[in-house]
Amino acid sequence: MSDLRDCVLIVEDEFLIAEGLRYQIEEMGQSVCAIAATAEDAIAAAQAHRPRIVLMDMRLRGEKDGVDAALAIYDTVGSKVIFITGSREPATMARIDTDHPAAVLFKPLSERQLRHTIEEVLAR
Amino acid sequence: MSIWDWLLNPSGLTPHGFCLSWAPGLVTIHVVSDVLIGLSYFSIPLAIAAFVRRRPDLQYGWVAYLFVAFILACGTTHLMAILTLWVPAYGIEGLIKMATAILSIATAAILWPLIPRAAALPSVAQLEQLNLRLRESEAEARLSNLELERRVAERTSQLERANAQLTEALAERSQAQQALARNEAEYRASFEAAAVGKIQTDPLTGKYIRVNRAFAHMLGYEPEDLIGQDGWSFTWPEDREEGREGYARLLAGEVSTYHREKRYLRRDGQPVWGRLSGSIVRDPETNEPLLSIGVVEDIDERHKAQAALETAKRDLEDMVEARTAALRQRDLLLREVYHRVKNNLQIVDSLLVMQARQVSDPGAKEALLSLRSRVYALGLVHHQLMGSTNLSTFDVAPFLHELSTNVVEGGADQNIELNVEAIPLEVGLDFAIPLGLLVTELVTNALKHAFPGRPGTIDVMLRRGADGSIALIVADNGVGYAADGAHAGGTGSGLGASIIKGLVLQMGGMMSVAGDKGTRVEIRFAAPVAS
Repeated sequence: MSDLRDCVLIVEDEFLIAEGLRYQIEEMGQSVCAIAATAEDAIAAAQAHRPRIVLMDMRLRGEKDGVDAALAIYDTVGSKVIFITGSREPATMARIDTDHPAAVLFKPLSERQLRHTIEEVLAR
Repeated sequence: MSIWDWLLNPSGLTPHGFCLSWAPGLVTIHVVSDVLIGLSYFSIPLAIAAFVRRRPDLQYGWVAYLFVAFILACGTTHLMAILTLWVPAYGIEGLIKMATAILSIATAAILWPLIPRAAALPSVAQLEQLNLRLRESEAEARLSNLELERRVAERTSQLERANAQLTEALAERSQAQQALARNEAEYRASFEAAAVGKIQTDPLTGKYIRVNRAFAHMLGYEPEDLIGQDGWSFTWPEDREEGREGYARLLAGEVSTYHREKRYLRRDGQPVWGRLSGSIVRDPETNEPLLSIGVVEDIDERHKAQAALETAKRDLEDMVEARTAALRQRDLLLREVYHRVKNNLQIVDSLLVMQARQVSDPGAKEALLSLRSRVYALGLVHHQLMGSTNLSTFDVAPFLHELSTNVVEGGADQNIELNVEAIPLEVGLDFAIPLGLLVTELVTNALKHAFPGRPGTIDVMLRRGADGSIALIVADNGVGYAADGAHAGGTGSGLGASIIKGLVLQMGGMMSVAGDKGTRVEIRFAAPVAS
């Protein structure tokens, strides 16, 4: 979608991890438009900032998880969602797969993986 | 005149010879003739008497004696005629003639009426005829007698045959009766002495007609206690309804036999398990049920054992389920732990990223960033563990590939080719963490020192030696440590070098370094005790 902005929305309820991600993204030359810690905030932020890319943690504070937020964002905004998860549970993976993920990254993230993935998704 | 005179010489009469003038010729003729006649007349009656005496069967024999008397009397008169030639005994002669006359008249008088009767007597011819006929009829009789005897013999043999048949039939019947009696005795014996319970019940009333000892004892009774009792009252109350339904089907002929495992009610009020096989004896013509027959096997022990077995099995299943649940819980907890570890490492990584931005000294920045790759190695081990099915071991080959790639791509600006070649090897946390850190250090060293401003190749290999030991080889085609003594593993004095030395020691390994064609570090250690 052409009306999306060239920025990254970080959805992560751990402050330090979110900050680490922000630093790395900024070092790549990208801008971070917002950081959200809950699914609701994430949806609201996505709708407000219309980011081209969302880095989405699976586990979030509150009742809804990353998949719920991603579905809503995919439907209302159309951002590319890159999931970041600490889990390799088959159930989690199956749930992510229902949600048109642009990519899935596992914690701990290497800077290389993050950079490659964002570049690759943006190039699509 | 005296009687004597009258008899011998009445009135002086002259002898008869005188009348004949005593002519010798006349006298002689008279004397001779009268003598002969007199003698004959005495002889004839004697012969008649002798004949009659010999034939006592003659009818009218007494007439013959009359003739004897009459002829004797006649003979006497002739003798008297001789006497009177010389003696004038005309008195005696007259008396004798008078007696002869009486006998003659009597004989004559009797003879006439006798004629028809004598004529009626069978003649000899008639008798012979009769005799002949008698013989003929005798022969006939003999013939018919023979026929009769033949028929009698025939009948006799028929009778004997019939008798033999009858005897045989009787014997057969007796055998059949004996066999029947034997069968009955055998049946009785097998019924009474059987080790399994046997019962016979009236199909209409349901009452026991006959039960054996085994059945009665199974229920805690004697057979005589049960006979005449309602069979259903000895079935465990909860099993009665189902039992009745099955029995009704048997009675109705819907099924020919009936098998059930059910509980009986013991005398002491306890249930006892029995396996009942029932059938119905029916009237062959009317098909009416006559007798219901049951065999009851005592399966109480078996049933109890089975129940105990099932309980034990259920307990075991519960235990397995509990263990499985516990294991699942453990797996869940482990995954959660791994997840948290990874998350915490991510936080550490973030702190390093943030700290690195704060420092301005390039050496310090580099040191912080090299910490990131070590943290990444730790995180990757946990990530592999989390993806393995047993949560405790994983295949080292993809791990080494991922790890080396991350170091090379994250650290190199120039064109470095990486080749990873690892045997499949299941490793656990204790082996994977030092191995991962070693690979990180060695590959980082190669990147930093082997290729000053030029492309090259790094090989990471994990091999198994002939003695079963494992060899980790990190080799590059760079400048070699001779040209730059600082970089080779173990030879430097920096943090990386002491990490390498310490981990090799920890793993009980032996390190060798060759630096003539690039640098080749080989660490040999015992294979991990496979998980």
